[in-house]
Amino acid sequence: MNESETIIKAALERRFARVPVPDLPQGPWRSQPAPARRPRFRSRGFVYASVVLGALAVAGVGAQASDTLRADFARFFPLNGSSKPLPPMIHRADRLTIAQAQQRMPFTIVVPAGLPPNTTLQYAHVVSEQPVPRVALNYQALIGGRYYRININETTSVSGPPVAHFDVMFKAKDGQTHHQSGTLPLRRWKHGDVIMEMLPEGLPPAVSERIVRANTL
Amino acid sequence: MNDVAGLSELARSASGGDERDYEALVRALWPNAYRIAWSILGERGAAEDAAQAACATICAKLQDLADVRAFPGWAYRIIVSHARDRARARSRLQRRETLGYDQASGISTRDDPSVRLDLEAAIGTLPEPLRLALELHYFVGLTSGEVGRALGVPAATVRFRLMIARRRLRALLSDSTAPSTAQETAS
Repeated sequence: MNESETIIKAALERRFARVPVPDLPQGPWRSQPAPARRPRFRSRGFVYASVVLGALAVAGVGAQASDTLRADFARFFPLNGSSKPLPPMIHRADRLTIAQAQQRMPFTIVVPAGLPPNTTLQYAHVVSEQPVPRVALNYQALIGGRYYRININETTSVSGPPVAHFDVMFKAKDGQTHHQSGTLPLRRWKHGDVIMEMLPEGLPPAVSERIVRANTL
Repeated sequence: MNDVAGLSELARSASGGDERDYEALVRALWPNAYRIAWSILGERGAAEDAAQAACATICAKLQDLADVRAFPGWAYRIIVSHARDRARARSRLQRRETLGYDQASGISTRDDPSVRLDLEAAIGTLPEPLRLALELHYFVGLTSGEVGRALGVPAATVRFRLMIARRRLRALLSDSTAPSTAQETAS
């Protein structure tokens, strides 16, 4: 450390020496829950979050997915898998374990059957608690050396056709914000009192049909 | 004064889940957490609230930290975020930078033009990104990589900010009387 850095350091110590530090508040620290913080708006994961929230919040009138929409969708859900691990699509503040999500859901979260081997849960995400509870389970499957995303929603009530609204906002290199929206087919089935939904887009048919063969609701 | 490596060790112990280890960790972190929060907020009460909330968050999320060696940068990131959130919410940040030096102690370069702008005052009037980089690096003892993690910028940006801050302070550093008169002015 040179002389000027030493002088800066001494000045900083004098600066902080004039601010008495209050006593440490009483604990217990171990059992304190984390203060709830609002996720950053339009953070780096915003584009991904907008995709998954839009895609998994069931809405809209049924329509066929056009080739253009499929191409846009593939930006976020690689149709042939990805050679690299897939990044989470939502801010870390919203990523939960199944146990944490279960505490906020009135129904028992079902772990889907038929998931391929080498599948790991990335995170659970509470999409809504009221009026209709909905939780999303996000898995990553490693099939043939490529990574695939598997998104499964669970809820207690649905309305409308099994179609997922696809809504993406992204900022291009020219600085303009672009908006693409549309619909994609969704598979929906019932497991006890829980209604499960899966977006088969981007998954090999053999994989998606193993999880659920057809719409049963 | 500051033992950054010791913080990582305390974090390693606390990750075992013992309440006494958690308290030891917070006790070690608390003074600088408060000082950094004060540097951002400029108010003692708000700084204490922000530091307390940050320590609670650190304790609650410690189990999520994969590598305790990254604890210092990770913990100061939480502290800085909490303080900045409060600063934004209360819209005081810009006002404080305009007013000048150390409202908490009642000394203002604006109120008393005869007060010489010494090195301490110059540090206090640096823009927040430069000031925080200086404080976290030279006072807390974090590396540029850890400061970068705390401020959410690359390590190269931290080094650039430190260079700019030093350049701005260079004129005062060349004045050998600055450090001694600073003490007198403050007291």
